[in-house]
Amino acid sequence: MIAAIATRVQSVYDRVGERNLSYLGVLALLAILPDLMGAFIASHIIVMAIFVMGYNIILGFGGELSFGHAAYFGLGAYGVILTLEHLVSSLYLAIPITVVAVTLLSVVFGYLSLRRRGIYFAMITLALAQLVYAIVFQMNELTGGSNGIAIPATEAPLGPLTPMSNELHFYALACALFLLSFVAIARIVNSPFGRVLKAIRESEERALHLGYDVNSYLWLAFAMSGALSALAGALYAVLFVFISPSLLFWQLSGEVVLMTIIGGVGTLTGPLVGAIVFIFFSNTLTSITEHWEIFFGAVIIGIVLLAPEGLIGLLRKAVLDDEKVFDLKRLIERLRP
Amino acid sequence: MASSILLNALPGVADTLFVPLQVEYYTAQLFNGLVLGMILVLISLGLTIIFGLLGVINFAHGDLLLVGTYVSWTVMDATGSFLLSIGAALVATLVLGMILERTLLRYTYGRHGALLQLLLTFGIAELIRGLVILVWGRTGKNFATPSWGSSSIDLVLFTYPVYRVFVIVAAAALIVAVYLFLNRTDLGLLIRAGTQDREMVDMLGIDVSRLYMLVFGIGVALAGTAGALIGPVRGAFPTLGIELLIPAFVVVVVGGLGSFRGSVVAGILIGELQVMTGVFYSEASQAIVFVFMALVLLVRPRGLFGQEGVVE
Repeated sequence: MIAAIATRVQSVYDRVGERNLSYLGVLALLAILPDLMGAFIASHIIVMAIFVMGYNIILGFGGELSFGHAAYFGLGAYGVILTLEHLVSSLYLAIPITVVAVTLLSVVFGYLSLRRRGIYFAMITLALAQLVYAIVFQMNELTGGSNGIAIPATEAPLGPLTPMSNELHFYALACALFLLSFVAIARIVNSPFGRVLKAIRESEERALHLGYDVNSYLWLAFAMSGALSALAGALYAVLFVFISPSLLFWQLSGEVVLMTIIGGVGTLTGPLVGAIVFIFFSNTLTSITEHWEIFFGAVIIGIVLLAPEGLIGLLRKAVLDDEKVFDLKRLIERLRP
Repeated sequence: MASSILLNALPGVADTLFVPLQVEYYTAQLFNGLVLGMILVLISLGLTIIFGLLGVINFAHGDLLLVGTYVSWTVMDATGSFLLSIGAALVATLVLGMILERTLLRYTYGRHGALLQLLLTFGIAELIRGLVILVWGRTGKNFATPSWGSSSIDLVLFTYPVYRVFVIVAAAALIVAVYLFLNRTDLGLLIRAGTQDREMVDMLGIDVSRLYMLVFGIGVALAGTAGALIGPVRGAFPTLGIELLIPAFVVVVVGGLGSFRGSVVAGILIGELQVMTGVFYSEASQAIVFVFMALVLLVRPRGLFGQEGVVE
């Protein structure tokens, strides 16, 4: 009986392939999330998953640890609100304008940060992000300073959908953008560009000696990750309506690193897993205790010391001998009586 | 203080209106820059010596500084002796740093690389700030200036609060002490040797792991003492640590990571830059520091005193 099922599973696996199977898993997750956690939290998860996906381009595929991505996320959120207030009235114009503007900023910041690598890179990205935080905090009249700012109330119909007022409609929009980004990243990382990026991650020196313009590749990756972070931030502002400067603070920059690691650095499906686990965990935590920093810190320490490969890595290790390759075939072999 | 508010509100007009006050006012501001600069030097010196030997950038540095501030506040509150409270902050953060190195950091050396170490210290930062908030509350504490420091001292050209002069002198003494420790003692020699080549020191039969613990403790204690010193100037509140850590990162980037001279020069430079910009155009006082960092990175990516290849 078990053997028959295992054989059947294996034949399905062989035909569909691991990559496609994980894509199907993502689709299934997207379908059941609103039923599991409600449309609002599900939307929050998808927004963060887009953010993590963007962040993963520079950390997971480029191999550089940025500690300042809250800047692009937060500016995406502030940008869409300010654009709606002062420039255009359509949300669907405001979002692309914001994404383009923030991407341009990430091009500038990326250029500066990529003057150095490693720990320096992390510190510079952090310092630049804090600069953005300080400026937004100080420009009281425009940004509301420490009080924050609310998105202007508009209907923003999109065909039959009204994402501004209906949470489930917003969820549908966010999912569409998530899938779009997902497919785009899947194609990018398997393109020649993506391969060079991964080569740089493995050994920058080797890529350099092979004649690749390493800095330009990383620069482009940085800009891409800035663009996706801005998109996620813009969606966040639409979902939450009210935003405050804490969106630009280093805490969020740390949270996105954590989500990336929980899901597995440099994987395609990891960001979604990381966002689900983190948002569920942090929502539960803030409803239980006001001292969430303690638990947040303890969880980070725990993950770093016990499960540095993330949850997927932990799972692989628990089930398989070989921790490097996820081999469903071998898993099935072991399940076979 | 009244003059400073007016000057900030009317930057252009001030030059013509307050001529008699100007020299006194600007000299006092120069000293304020020195106070901030000295504090930044202490913080970034700690960062630098920890990085030099352990290869770890300590994101928890700011929140360990916070522990120093609050321990000092508590001891001051209980005993009324400010000198005792500084000593308590120094000892408490020294011990806390050594415990953290022994129980957490040491498990990450070599195994995971810089990414996870950074994340670990970020986690420690959150945990410690959470505990500080749990013990002392989320709202800030008013940190009284010790009675001997609340008067002003006449420095010929201008008068200046005694306490701030004390901060400058105490920080300078500490910096000199660290310099002498690193350059004139056997232990300091070992630490410098370890910074150059850890493996070699290990092979010579020296217990590097205990050296790590000591250096992390000393680095953290420098931050903790800085936290105690800045307490009466800034007050004690939970985000004080992060607020000071970020400019300290800028100091380290500008000065060159791992360079003692770089930390001292860049620390004072950044402190003066921030305060003096605040005098002329207060909106830019935060941003100017980062603009300066960007300029240094463009012209000299390794920092003013950084050596090529030492860090990366």
